[in-house]
Amino acid sequence: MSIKYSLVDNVRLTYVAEKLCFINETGGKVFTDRALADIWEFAQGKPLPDIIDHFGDSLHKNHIRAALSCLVAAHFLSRFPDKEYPSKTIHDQLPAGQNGLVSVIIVAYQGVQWLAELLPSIYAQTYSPVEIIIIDNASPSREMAEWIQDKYPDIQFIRQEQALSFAAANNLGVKNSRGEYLMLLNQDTKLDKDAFSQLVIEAKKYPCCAAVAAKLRLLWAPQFINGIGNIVHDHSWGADIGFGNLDLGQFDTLANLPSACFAGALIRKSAWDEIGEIDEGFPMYYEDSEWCYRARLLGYRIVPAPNAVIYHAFGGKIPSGDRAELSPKKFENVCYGRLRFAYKLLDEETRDEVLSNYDDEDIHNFIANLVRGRIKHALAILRARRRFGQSKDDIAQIHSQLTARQAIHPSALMETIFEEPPVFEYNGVPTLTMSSIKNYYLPLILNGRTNITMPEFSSENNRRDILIVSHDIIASKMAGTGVRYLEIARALSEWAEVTLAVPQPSNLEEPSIKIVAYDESIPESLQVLVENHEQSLISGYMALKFPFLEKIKTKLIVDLYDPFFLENFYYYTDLPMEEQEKHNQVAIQVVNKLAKMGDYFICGNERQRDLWLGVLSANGRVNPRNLSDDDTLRQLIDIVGIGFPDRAPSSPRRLLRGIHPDFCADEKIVLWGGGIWNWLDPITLVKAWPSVITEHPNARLVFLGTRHPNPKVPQHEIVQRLIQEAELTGEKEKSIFFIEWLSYEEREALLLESDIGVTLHAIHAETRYSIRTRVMDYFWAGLPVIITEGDITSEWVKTNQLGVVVPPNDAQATADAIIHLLDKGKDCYKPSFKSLQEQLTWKNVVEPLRNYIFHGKNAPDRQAFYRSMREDPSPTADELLIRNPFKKAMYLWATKGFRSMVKQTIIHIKFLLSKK
Amino acid sequence: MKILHVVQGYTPAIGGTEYLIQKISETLTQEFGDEVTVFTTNCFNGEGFWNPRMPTMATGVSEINGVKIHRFPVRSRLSQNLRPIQKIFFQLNLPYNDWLRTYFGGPIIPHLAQSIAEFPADVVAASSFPLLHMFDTLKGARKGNKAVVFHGGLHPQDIWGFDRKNIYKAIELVDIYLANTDFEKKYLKNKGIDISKIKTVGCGVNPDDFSGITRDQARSLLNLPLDAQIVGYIGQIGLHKGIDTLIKAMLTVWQSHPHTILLVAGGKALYAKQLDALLSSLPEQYKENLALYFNFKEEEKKYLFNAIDIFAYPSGYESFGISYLEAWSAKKPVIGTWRGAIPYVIDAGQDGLLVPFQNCHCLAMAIVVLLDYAIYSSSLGINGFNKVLTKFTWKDVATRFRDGYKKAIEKTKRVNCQNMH
Repeated sequence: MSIKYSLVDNVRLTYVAEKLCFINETGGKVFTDRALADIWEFAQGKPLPDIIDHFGDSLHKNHIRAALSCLVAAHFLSRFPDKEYPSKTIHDQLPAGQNGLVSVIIVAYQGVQWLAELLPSIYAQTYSPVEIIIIDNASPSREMAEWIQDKYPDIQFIRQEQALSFAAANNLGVKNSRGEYLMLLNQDTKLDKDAFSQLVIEAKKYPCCAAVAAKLRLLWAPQFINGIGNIVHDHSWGADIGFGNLDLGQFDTLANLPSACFAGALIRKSAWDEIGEIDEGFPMYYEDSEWCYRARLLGYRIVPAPNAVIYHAFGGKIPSGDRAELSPKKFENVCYGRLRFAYKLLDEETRDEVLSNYDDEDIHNFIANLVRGRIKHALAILRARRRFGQSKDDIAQIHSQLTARQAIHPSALMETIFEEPPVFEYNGVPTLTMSSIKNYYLPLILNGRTNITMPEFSSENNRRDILIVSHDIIASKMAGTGVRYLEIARALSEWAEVTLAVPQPSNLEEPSIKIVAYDESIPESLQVLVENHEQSLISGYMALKFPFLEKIKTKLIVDLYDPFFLENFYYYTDLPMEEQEKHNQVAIQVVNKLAKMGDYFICGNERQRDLWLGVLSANGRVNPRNLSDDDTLRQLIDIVGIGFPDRAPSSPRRLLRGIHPDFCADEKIVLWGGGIWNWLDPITLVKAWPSVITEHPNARLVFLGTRHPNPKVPQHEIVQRLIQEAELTGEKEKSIFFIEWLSYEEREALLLESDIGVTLHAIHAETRYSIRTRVMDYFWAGLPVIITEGDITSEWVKTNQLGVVVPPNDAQATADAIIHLLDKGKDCYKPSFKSLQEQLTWKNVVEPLRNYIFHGKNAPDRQAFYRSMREDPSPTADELLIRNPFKKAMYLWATKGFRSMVKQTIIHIKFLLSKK
Repeated sequence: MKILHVVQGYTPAIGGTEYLIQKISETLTQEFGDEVTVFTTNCFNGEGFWNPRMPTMATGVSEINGVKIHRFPVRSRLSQNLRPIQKIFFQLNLPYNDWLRTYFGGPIIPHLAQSIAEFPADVVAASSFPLLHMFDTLKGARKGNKAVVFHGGLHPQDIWGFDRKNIYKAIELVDIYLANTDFEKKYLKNKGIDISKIKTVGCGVNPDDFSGITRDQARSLLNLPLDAQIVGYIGQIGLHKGIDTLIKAMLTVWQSHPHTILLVAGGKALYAKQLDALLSSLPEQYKENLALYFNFKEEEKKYLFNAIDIFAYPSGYESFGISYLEAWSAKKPVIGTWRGAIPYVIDAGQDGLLVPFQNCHCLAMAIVVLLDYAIYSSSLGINGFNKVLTKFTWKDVATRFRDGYKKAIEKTKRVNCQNMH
């Protein structure tokens, strides 16, 4: 069922300061733009596909999805059904044991209206024990004192008759506290119920942290960030980190912060004692940053607690959204604060650089204020400078004391800890626009850097379709190629609509896959299927058999896991050289066609990828266009090897032991578990067999399939030689057996019954690049493997100790290996397979392909024309191509009318005359 | 909301737009409580606009299912006189040939613009181009300072009908344009029309009209065999609708599926001779595989669509393709072409298959795939049915029309406010 949207009650859209603005239920404002407002208005009662349809012409689908996700996250829209999409956030639990006392210190001024909201949220905390200390910073009336005494008599209330600075008032509170942790809070805040727990959890997690910063959100726009800590810039003012950002969890993975904002921060008392009090030399502003930077200088960390959410009424109860400026007094304090900060904490070199930046900015601001007639602000800068000049000596003294204790070089304080997020605000109010969604939020979403589940991007609402074309049969009995495409189809069907096109009708029934046959002799039978799917996976000789593929406008994925042009050298060895050359030329032609037609390529392993990158380079596909967005070229060619089903093999019955007359219950089975092809070496195995049978008379060698399961594929020449060799040993039908292909399910039973899996080959070009399904089957079933060195799977066997790697054509080594493994027994190898079995499930293996299906584009270098099967109703450029003036005039008359023709002719004649 | 629809004909007049506007008007009245009035002509079809010998209806005001109808008389003789001259101007592409074609096509209705200007409506919506009443509507609505919406139903492939400058100039002046498909929307965008005022509305169908009957019951009623597979073509019969391609494709289909029946149902007026010739040229053994139903009644549509297994309608000229919606309403898979607006209605591979226009080989293979794979076929049919339920019921379409009207009214109000200031 598709998700639908509805407008959230009491959210409206209006104009404030001549800008479009959302007003939420509490009256809080968020500025927006027309494009996003249109989506918001249209979404009412509409399902997602309708909204995408409606805006699809002017916006990319993902922009629309991101816009809707953001509008829901901002609580301007609600989606239903929504209960299926829980938040991804997992809250940590406090470890068992005694919790330390948290002393809450609130500096208040005429704050009854604020405290009436804050104090209940403190009392509702899931954390205890907590003590509360309120410093009444010289409120003119006793209203607050009386109110506290009446409502909260257990609170330690300290009345301050003379107003103190914010720093001094907090220091006073700390002096009167008893806690292990100090929780500094502004009076205009409100807490989530487990804010304290989450802050303490983080503090306990990092013993070397001095302060833990809560995630401050705006009280009047609760889904938007006020700040994740704050930062002092070396070239400009200090700032709250991430102000105005919609909280999608993008900051939840930050490990360190430059500074915490003391509107809501937890400080470890032991650190406080070592770092010292808040510097009372700061009249207002920068005192929290200075304390935190000082802590860092002394070797402490400042860490965030993303799950500790505190709402802060930044800018007032409900900011108007009109232009607001600092008063001259506050402006003076800011100017002074940053100078004091830099002079106190930084080393000489860094300080000079930073102060020089501040000088430049102050001069610029001074002139700008004068020009604008804001004399008081201009004078404020001068006053701040004079004050700084007067206190410079005192600050220098403190600086030298700090230098003696510093644990890091001060220049490190100003280094970038993380990439600072953009600020989205206008006149102190957050903004959420289509532009910020396109350029900032969408990349976060697509890169998985958000922490909110967005069903708009889930596969259910973003389901794609793919046609997988197999050139081999897919039926109950099938070879490696058929197995590959069936398993890829099964793995992808979890996320996409999969149609499997096969060259002969299939007897398989797969509930989640549509299996459809095509006729190789009628190209249209495949053309219809390819044209009706967004993307198709093709391979090999299809490029030659189906010429329409070269012109197809839908996306083509080319499977290059089979290096068929190398296989051919061994397939046609019996033919005269001229014939072999002809086959090779055709194969090369196919390879080149495939290289040119694909939008995306998949191959079996890194070795193959190198080989195919060479082929793609030779065909001009490694080019600046393809490299422009993708330096690694993984969006052009990536690895989708062979995997295991997402389960252990199982079978209710046996096939051979105790069933077949020549197989007793205790016999050991050595399995050649795949086709007998010319490029393999089963003969060495048969030559080794007499030695094996001498040592283990109960051993049985089983070859699976002397013919390809597809009757159209002829038997390979090596089969007859192998049978002759087996007869020569005198063991054929005694201990060497050739059985025909089993069904896909029966194959599982045979794998489970077997004791060793064998595959041998000569060392040649094909071997280096191939990857064999049978070896993957052995791995899946936990069968110890005997394999010739040289291919990629032999390296896995060696590295993971999954069996024995033997030299090529070495019958004795092969016999020794079999005897060794039979002596040892297969059970002792089982643990070695575990990590490979987990890593190589089909679900994991197809991941790059899945990624391409959902996010892949048409290859940039194949975009010369508008690649859509749909007709584009755009006018043609025929006119530009006509050079003959008379023909051009006739064309203009026919297409644009008589008047146009006359007009253009006059222009042309004038042009000719001017030339003369 | 007070809505004035201006349309060239209204039931009992016949035609796609006439039917659409009737359904929209009635849905707006019954479901949304709007007050809908329709200004229309007294003609039964388009020929009446330029042929004075065609029968006409009574003029004046009447009411049908809650919708007020005002039928205006048409001056068809005036149009008729323009026939030769518009032809010459069109062939030579001379100035004002667009207007000559428009006046020839009619309907010339004196005082229509004035009546629209005086009518107390919040919004005036006119369908469909290239007819003259569209221009009268624009003139009248602007004079009366009313919001104006066009629902043009453009067929870009029809050069005589739609390659006219005056159409696109008029569209530039309306508040909102309602397009049948995104194809029409893109076409207008390419013509330089501001895309923000174009809204895709689509056409509708009532799925209940096609329910309540099984395939076997429908076949029994139509005397069709119960055990054969049936490929159906139900709709207007003409070359541009691809019936010839379908018959050629069936020759290939019959080679592998000799018992499949081709059901052809529709009005064959203009194309009768060619169709007969084509059918009579078929090999004798395949003639038995044909089931022909010409000029069937509207009530029989339900049986026809339910009786078939696949709806193959390889048309090349559709402004929307309402027949596909009707087939989906009966949960049948459809085959259309990649031409024009059709790929914007059928989601290829999702609710139907698309083939190149006039490509009988591809069409044959598409039919074979759907005949051979019942699960695939039925999944396409079910997806189509679900699409109809979620997007193309009359209520859905009327809602989209209404959204367009609301937007136009707001726009007009904003402009009026600015003018007052």
